[in-house]
Amino acid sequence: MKISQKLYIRVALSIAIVAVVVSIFFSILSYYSSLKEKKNTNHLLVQQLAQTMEKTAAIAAYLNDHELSQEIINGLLRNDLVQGASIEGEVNPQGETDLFIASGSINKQKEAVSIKLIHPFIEETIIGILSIYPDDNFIQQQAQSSLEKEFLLMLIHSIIIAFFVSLVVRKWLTQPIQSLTDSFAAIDPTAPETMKMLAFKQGKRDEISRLTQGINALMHELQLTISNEQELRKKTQELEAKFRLIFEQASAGICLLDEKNNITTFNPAFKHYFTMPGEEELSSLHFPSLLNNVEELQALLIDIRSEKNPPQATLDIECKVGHRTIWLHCLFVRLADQRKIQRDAHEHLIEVILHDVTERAEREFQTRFEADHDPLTDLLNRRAGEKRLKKALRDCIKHRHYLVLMMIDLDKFKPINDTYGHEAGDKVLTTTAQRLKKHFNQETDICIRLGGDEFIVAQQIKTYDKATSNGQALAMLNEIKQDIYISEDIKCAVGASIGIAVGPNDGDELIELMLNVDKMLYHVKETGRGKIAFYDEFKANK
Amino acid sequence: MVNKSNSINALSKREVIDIYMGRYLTFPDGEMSQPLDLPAQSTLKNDFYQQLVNKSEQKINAYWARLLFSGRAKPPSQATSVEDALNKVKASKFAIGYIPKSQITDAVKVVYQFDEN
Repeated sequence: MKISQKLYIRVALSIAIVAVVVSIFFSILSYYSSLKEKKNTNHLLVQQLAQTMEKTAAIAAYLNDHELSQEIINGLLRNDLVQGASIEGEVNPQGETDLFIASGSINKQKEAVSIKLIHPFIEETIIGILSIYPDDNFIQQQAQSSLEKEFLLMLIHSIIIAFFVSLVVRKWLTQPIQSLTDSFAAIDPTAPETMKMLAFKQGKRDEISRLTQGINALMHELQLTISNEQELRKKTQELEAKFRLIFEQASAGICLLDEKNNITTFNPAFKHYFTMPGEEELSSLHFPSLLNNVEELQALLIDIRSEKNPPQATLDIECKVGHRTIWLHCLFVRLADQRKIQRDAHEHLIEVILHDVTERAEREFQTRFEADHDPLTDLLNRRAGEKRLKKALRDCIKHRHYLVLMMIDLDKFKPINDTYGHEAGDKVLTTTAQRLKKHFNQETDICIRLGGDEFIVAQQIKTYDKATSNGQALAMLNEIKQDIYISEDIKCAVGASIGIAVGPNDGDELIELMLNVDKMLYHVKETGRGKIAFYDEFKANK
Repeated sequence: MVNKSNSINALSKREVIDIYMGRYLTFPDGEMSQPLDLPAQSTLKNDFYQQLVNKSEQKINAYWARLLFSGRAKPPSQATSVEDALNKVKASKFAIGYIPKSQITDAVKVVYQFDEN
């Protein structure tokens, strides 16, 4: 069953139903109570009726007068309340009733109103009984008709009340709520401009008006908030777009490191630095692993996280990506946390900004190389060489190692230069330099062109064995003596004189050592060239 | 008092009432009875009914009037005087009447007598 959704109809229906039920209940209640009351009343009336007829009936009974009795009973029966009546005379000595007159329905003995008929002349002598039977049907009919009337009245009453209640509900409740609902429906929460004030009757102080006012106040606040929010969001979006542009379009690589030095965010430039063309992913998200100098970097990262240290540090790091080696200038910044929760020192985020400085580094490297090396032979020049030697000697003394210093001077070089020209001379010098380097190719070995055709090679060794050093020198000498092809068909050969001194035995200062080795070379040259001479022998001979 | 030839020798007060108030038209032995009243408004009649049923003459008249149209009972016939009553009783075997004690003669039989007040 579909009941109307309209509030006022529902209210009216509810009231009507309740009213009908209550009407029925009270009507039934009233029916039974009025029935009982009527019965009592009728009983009383009938009793009074009987009393009225008592005297006459008594006379009739006394005289055994049938006609009179019949007349009395007929008179009684004419009354609506009576459905039957009887007069009974006394029992005579023969056991017979002289008089019994009855009329109407007299079978309901217990409802009968009976009056004892007293002897009209002798008191306290009963001569008969007058019985009157009240008409229950009549009483019931009366009660029913009054019930019907009452019920009808109540029903009409209920319906009128329900109708007016529904009218009032509709007028005062449903219509205002409907208009409220309608104006509410016009509001789109996503569009704050539709959040205008809801209409309500000014000056009214009922609940609906107060509700409307409340909604209006709420909506006003909400509209403000939403507008602010939207404006703020727009600004934030603009800002974010700008920042994103800066971040993504920056030529510098930018990344954020978490407390475990893992990369949490990085920009396209960063990715570009660390990926080969065609690679999609970084090889590792652990930042130090991307770079070559892992230990130094991790130490720096620990340092920068400490509050004691300045929040910024820079480091140039070499990095191998694929086959390419690049140099990255890295700026590490400890981020001051904007969050309210204070983080532990280890939890600081670190921003890393990287620039590709490979070109600059290479240029610097080249410049330094050029400054330190002889442009012809690529051996160290005198200035850089002496610096290196000084350091080597210091290290050897510190570690109780030995520095074997060999000074080489080419024999018969000047004629080649004169005969075949400078280019041939240069060729001889570069070839010789290559040969020196071939023999002293350890990392700690130092090869220097002092100038002209003078060279120094130095070797750092843990234990000095003269025979070994002598053998090395001899092998080198033999190598130098080999033919050098100036052009395809011209070859020449040079000799070499080698003076050897061993630090710190032959001097614990480089100047001294150099002086001594120079002395030895000079000595060899004076004593016939093409030989090797150790300073200790020379010293012993002195 | 009744006629001498009447077989009844005595009546109870109740039997007198029944005869005079019209309940029975006979004496207790079944013989017909013809009750006689003394003149209306006489002290004797009034006293009689007063003593018999404790009711005034007017009430008795009203009683008979009530029965006039419906009842088969008839009021006692009227005697003009005590003497007339005496004569009628003497003459009829069925008559019954009442007179003061002082005027009783041997010609009639007394069947009931009120107590002296």
